[in-house]
Amino acid sequence: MRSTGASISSPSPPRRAGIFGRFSLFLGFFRGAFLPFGLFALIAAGLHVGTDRLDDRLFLVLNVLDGLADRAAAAIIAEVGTWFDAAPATVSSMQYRAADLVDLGLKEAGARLGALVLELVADLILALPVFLYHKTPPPLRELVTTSRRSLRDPTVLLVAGPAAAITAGLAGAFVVTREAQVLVHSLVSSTGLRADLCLFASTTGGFLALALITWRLGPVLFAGAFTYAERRAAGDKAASVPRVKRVLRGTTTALIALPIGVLALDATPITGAVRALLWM
Amino acid sequence: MEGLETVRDPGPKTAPRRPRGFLDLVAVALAFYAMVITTPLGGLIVRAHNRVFGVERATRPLLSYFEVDGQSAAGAALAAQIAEPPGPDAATSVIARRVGVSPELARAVAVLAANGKESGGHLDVTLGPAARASLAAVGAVLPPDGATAEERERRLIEGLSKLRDHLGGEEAAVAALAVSLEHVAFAVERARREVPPAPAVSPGPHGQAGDEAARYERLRPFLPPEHRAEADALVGGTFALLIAFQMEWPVGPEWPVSSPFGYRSHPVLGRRSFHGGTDLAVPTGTEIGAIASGRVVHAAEDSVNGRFVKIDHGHGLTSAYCHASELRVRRGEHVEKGRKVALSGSTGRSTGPHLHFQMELNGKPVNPELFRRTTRLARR
Repeated sequence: MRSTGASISSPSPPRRAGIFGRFSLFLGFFRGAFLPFGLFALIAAGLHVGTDRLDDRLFLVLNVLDGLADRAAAAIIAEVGTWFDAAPATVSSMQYRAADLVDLGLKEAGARLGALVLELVADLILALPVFLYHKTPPPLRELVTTSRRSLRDPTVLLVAGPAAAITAGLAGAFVVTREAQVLVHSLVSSTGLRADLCLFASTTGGFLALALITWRLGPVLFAGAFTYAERRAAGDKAASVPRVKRVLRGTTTALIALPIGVLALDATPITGAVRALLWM
Repeated sequence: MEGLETVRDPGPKTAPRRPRGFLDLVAVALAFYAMVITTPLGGLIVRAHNRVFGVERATRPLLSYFEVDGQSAAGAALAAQIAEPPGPDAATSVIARRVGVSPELARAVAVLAANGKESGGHLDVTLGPAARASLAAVGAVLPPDGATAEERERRLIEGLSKLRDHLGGEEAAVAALAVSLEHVAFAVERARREVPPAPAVSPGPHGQAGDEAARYERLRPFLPPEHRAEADALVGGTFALLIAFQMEWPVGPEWPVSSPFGYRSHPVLGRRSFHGGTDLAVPTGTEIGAIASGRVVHAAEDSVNGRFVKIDHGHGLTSAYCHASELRVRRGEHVEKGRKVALSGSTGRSTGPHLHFQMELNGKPVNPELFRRTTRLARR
């Protein structure tokens, strides 16, 4: 330890941590091992909120495409019908049969499958890289300095990565809040407590869960996503990757994960509150 | 070491801080728990866990994690056109009368439990784990493995009557097919303590008998939140179908259908449109009756529907009567089945006097003719 030269009295011995404090310190040694799983789970839960809204939109798209295909099929059948002098009733019947080939159930299943595939892809490109994040966020001043430097030579990943991570993470935090409320209510109500007290307990539990997730995982997630993107950009630069390719790194994240994250954020109480404030 | 400042002597007031892991571990555990419960990825993890450790934890199909347009099982059954009301001599009706359950309720429960599937002319009923546990708890005989669809349907109806007797009401009995019996019984008890005393047995708004505390809307707040969605779907769907099975046609049977429900235009013209209701050719001034009791949510006029009335019958079922010449009810009024709510006309976007009659279940149009008694009788 270096001497400052100014201090005369010897420093007081550090306060001894209690059993719980020592246990917590012990767990702190393994933080780097279990923290990525929490970040992964948070992003995955948030992305699912987004894809659960995406399936309705996919259904609409499939519906429109089905309508176009029906019209095309009907036109082709009508044309082929004239070649063979088919009766109008026969042509009509075949046109309806062609239209009914893709029914409501199939379109619904297609929309769900599409949403599932997109979610798994988004998990791969956004949630999986958390295992490469730094587990301790750098000080805020350092983060601001490096971000200013990096954004002079931006890449898509530098913008889309942290944005997607924070939107999905926020949505995930609200999912955790809701599940924590349900869990607390379920545990407390089984003791026979009055309904209003159970509700109070579950609301408090949810609020505490939200505060905990935001405080302990939020900064790691944002800083981790940013420094990860920065490291990738620096690595590309050092490897003399062509500029266009270097700048476009992260396009998949921007095209898939970021829109899902934004959809997920739209489903949270935050946007509801913002809308209510704007309309007031 | 992580988190330590090594550049300069921190001094006595700023001792080096090592990261404390307990709160982080709690945050990670909560996040992981939420992911396992709510995401398909979590479902895959549970499946992998089951396979590795040889356990039998229930998992959902991956596609069921996504809900497209909130279509309920009842809506699916109605869309599949298999949700016909029971005929008086149907096997369901005979069994139901023997155990003291209304044939319409028995049929509705069986339709929901079959999820739209039929086998050999009988509903292909499947009992989930909660239903099996609840039925076993009240001493009902469960169908053996490999039982026919007919036997499974019979056991379900017999078990339903035992559940009703145990819980004191039909709605609670149906809820116990989705949620464990202990939870429903607990919720009924809590509702009984919280709800003011009422006459011992009073018929519900749709004729169902039972204890006031066993009404689903009373006991629902006391069910575990994580099971409410399943119970809502089953109870809502069952009683919506029940209402539909007991409905009255809005006009007399002599008036023909001029345009039925479903797709009605030729696709070549590019005007293939879905007709979400049934048009009945009735002269102007014909009295229109409410198909079932409910509350008037709209009694208004617009450029498309003209003068129209919309009634909410509960459990997600609504009916609408459009192009009327005169309205006889006001918004917010409660109406009984058969009450005359309007006179027919040709207001709004209409080419001639007729009644456009529409039924919706959870916002999805369903074919009203499926529940028309004369149609049903003509088919038998």
